[in-house]
Amino acid sequence: MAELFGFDAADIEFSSGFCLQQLDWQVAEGDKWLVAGLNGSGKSALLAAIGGAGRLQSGRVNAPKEPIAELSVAVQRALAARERERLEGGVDPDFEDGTPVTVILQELNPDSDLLEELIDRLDLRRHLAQPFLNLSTGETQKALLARALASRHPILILDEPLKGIDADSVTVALDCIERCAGLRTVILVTHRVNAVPRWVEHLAYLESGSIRYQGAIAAPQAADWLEQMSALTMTHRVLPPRVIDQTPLKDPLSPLVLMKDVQVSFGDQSIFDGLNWEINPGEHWQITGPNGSGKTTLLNLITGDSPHCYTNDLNIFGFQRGTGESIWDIKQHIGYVSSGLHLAYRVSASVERVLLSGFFDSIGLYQTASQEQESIVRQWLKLIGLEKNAQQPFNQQSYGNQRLLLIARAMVKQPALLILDEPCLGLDPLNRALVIALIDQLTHNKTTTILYVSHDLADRIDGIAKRLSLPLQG
Amino acid sequence: MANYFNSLPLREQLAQLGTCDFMAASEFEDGVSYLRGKKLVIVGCGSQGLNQGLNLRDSGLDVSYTLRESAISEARPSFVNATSNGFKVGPYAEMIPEADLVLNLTPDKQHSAVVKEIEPMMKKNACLAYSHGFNIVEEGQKIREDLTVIMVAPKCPGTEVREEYKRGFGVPTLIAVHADNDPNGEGLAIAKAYAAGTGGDRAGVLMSSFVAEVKSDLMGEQTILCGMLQTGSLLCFDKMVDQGVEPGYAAKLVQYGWETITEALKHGGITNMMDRLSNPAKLKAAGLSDSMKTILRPLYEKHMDDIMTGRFSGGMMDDWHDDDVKLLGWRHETSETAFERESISDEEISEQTYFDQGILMVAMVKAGVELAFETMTAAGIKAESAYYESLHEVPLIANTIARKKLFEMNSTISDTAEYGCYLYNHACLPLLQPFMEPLSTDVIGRGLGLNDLGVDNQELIRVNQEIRSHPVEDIGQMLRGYMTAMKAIG
Repeated sequence: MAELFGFDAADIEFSSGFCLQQLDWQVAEGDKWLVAGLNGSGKSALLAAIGGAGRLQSGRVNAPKEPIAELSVAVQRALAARERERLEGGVDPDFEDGTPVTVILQELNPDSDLLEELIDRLDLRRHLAQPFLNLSTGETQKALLARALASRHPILILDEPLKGIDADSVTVALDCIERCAGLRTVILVTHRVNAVPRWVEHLAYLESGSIRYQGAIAAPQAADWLEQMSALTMTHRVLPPRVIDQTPLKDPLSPLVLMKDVQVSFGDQSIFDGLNWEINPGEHWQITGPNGSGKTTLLNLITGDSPHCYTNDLNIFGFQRGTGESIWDIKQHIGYVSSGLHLAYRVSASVERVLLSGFFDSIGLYQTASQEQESIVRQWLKLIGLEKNAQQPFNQQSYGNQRLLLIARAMVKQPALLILDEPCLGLDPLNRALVIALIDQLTHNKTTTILYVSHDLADRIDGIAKRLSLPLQG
Repeated sequence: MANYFNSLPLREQLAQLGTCDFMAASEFEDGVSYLRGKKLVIVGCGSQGLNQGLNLRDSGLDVSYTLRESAISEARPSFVNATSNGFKVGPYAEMIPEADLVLNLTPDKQHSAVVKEIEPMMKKNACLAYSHGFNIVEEGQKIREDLTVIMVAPKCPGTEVREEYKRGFGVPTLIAVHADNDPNGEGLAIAKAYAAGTGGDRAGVLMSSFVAEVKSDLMGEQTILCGMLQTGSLLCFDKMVDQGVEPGYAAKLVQYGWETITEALKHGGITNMMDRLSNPAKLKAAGLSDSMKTILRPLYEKHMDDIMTGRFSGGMMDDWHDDDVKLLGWRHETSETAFERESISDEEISEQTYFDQGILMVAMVKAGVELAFETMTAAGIKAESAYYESLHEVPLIANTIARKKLFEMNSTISDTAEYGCYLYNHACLPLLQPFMEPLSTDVIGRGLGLNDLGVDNQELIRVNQEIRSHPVEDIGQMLRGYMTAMKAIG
C-alpha cells in the first residue's frame, strides 16, 4: 500500500514546549488507525503534526498531500473563532447572525446523499437553518461529525468523536462512523478503549511524546496497552473523603514548610549551605537532582527523620522545630512514599491493614481503626482497582501494585503535604504509567500539596509547576 | 557501700522481689507532658544512651548529653554519636546543674564513679534515672535524699528501641521508683512520662522494682540468655564435628539455628517451638530437656542463690578491681574456640531443617527457659519478671549470634552479662559432658531420618500436656496477648 503520509525519526517541537520524539510512523492508503494514550501523552500533538504544526528539529516528515476531513477540539475552536470574528468584524452580507449549520456541513466537499442520511440519523435537520454558533455542545459535535463523515476527503481524522454526545445518540454515532470509515484512511483518537470499533486495524500507543507501540490492534501486546490505558483513565473518578475530625493545620494559609539558611553537612561534605525555601499550600513542587545531591536529606528535614531538623531554622506546618513539638505532630500532616519505605515495609500484614496504618503514620498497625477509617480505606482500594485484594497479604501483591498501595496509604488521610520520593523507581513501564496517572489526578486535589522527587525529567507531571534542582549552586 | 538488698528485712525483700504488674494503656494518656519543658540530660552515649535520646527528642523533649572531659576532647565514639545527631554535648559541670532529669546510661561498671561525680552537681529536687538497677541494689549506692530515683528499662537492645519507635510502636519497658528516694511522690509520674517518650507505652509497660529488675535480669542473662546459648553453641558444634558433620555446615546450623528456633518461641512460646518438630522429634526433645533439667537444676539454683546473696556481684566487682583479668581472659578463650573460628558453609538450610536437625538445640532452649523461670519464681520473683528475663529476651540474643556468632553476642551484651555468662559456661560444660557423650547426630546435625513418623498416643498426649501446662506458657500467653493487642498483627 502506498504511504499516504508519515514520519521518519522525527523530533517535533511545539510552542508549548511539548516534544514529539523520534517518531517513526507511516500511514498507508486505506489504513485504519486508533491512536491512544493518556492525557498529555501527545495525541493532539500528533494530530496537529500531521496537519503540519510544530517545528521539525530533526528527521523527516512526509506530509499528506490529500485533503483531510477532521473532527477535533482544534477544528472546533478554529471554527468558533472564525465565526465570532465574522460576527464582530463586520456584517457578512449573506449571514447576519452567523453561518448557518447547513453551510458548515457543506464545507468539506461532502457526498450529498451520504450527508442527507447523516443529517437524518444524527437528528440535525431541525438545526439546519440555525447559526452554527447557537448550537449546544452536543449538537455542535454531531454537526461536525456529520461534516467530517460525509466528506469525500480521503483522510479522516476523528479526535474524540463522541465527546459531549448524549448517551442516547452514541450508538447511532458509532454506527455512522463505522459506515463511513469505508475505504478511507482513518485516524481515530478516543479514550474509550473498552469498545474499540471493529473496523480499526492498527494501534499507535503514545506515552510522553513517543510511540510505545505500533502494530496490529489484534495483537496481544496491543490489548495489554489498551488495558493499561483503561485502568489509568481515572480522570472522572472522585477521591474518597477525609476523616471528619482530622486534626487541622494550625493555619491553613501560612507556608507548610519554611526553611531559613539551612546548613547540613556530613563530616566534611557540605550538602546545604544556606538553603532558603518555602512551600505554600497548593504549590506543587518537583525536586530533581542526581544521587548524592541532597534530595533525601531535604525530605528528611521536613519529615523529621534527619537529626539536622533540630539544629536548623525550620518551621513545618506552623511548628518551629525543636521547641517541644513531637515528631508525630509533624507526621500527622504528611503522607510519605519512597522506595526506601517500600523496602522497609516488610511487616506481614493484609493490604487493608497497610492502608489503615497510613492514618497512624506507623509501619504495621498497632491501633484499632475506626469504622470511618475502614470505609475510607475501602474507597481508596476501589479507586486503584484493588478492592478485591483487601484481605490478601501485602507482600504477595505485585511490586507495582505494592507501590500503588503505598501511595494510597500516604493519601488516606489526605495530608496537607504528600511527599513522593522517586515513586516510579524500579517499576516497569506499565506500573510507572499507573503511578503517574494517579499522581496526576492527585494534583487536582485542593487540600494536598505535592512534593515530587524524581531524578528523571521524563517523569514530569503536568500539574506540578514549580521545580527545585539540586545540588544548589552557590 | 553495702548491698542494698541484703540490708532489707525479709518482708521488704519479698515485697520488692514480687513486684511486676502490667500497666493499662489508659495510665499513659498524658504521654510525655509531665516532662515537657524540662531539661533532660543523658550521661553517656552508647547504644541505649543514643537511641533513647533520639526517641525522647522526637517525642518533643529537651534532650542533651554529658560526657567525661576526656571523651569530649578526644572525640570518642560517644561524643561523635551525640554531636553527629545534632545534640548538644558538654562536660558534667556544664550540663548537670541545669538538668531536671539526669539519665544515667553509662555501663554498670562506671555507675558508682559517675554518680559520685554528678550527684553533688544535681540541683535540688531533680531526678536521677537508671536503665538497670545494679548500682542501687548490688552496690548499694546511696543517693541524696532530695533527689528522686527512678528506673526506666526497655527490654530490648538500644537499636530495637529506636527502630520500633520509628515504626510507630515501641518495646516492652520496665519502670520502677526507688523506695528510698521518692521525696515528692512524683517518681511514678516522671517514670511514666519517660517511658512514654521512648515509645514503651505502646508495647506495654511493667511496674516493677529495682530489686526485682536486677535479680531477674542477672539470672536470665547468666543462665539462659547468654549462658545456655554460648555453652550450647560450643557443645553442639563440637559434637557434630566429632561425629563427622562437615564443620562449615555444623557452624552454620548453630549460628542461624538459635535465631530460627527462637523465632518460633517469640511468637508462640515453648509450645509453638516444640510443635515445629515432628512428633517423634518432639518426644525426643522432651526427653533430652528433662534430662538436662535434672542435671542443671543445681547449677541454676546456685546462680540464683549467688545473685540473691550478692555473692555474684561481689565476685564480679573484685574482678573489676583486678582490671577485669578474668573477664578478658575468658573473652580471649572464647574467641579461640573452634566454633568461633570456623567459617560457615554456603549451603542453603531451609527453615524447617533447622528444627529437624537441631532437636538438641530446641531441647536446650526449653530446658534453659523452664529452669530459669522455675528457679526465679521459687526465689520469690514474680512470673511476669521471670518471663521477660527468660523467654522474652532469648530471641534477641539469638539474633546477635546469627549476626556474628559469640563475638557479636558478647560485644552487644553488657560486661556484667558477659562475666556471668562465662561463670555459667565454666560450670555447665563439665556438667553436661557425660550427658553429651552418648548423643549422636540424630539429635544434632543430621536429624532422626525416620521413615515412619508414628508415635505412641499416650506418650504424645502426656508430653504435649506437660509443655502446655508449664507456668511460663501460661504467663507467656497472657503477656504476648497484651503485647499483640497493643500490636494488632496482620
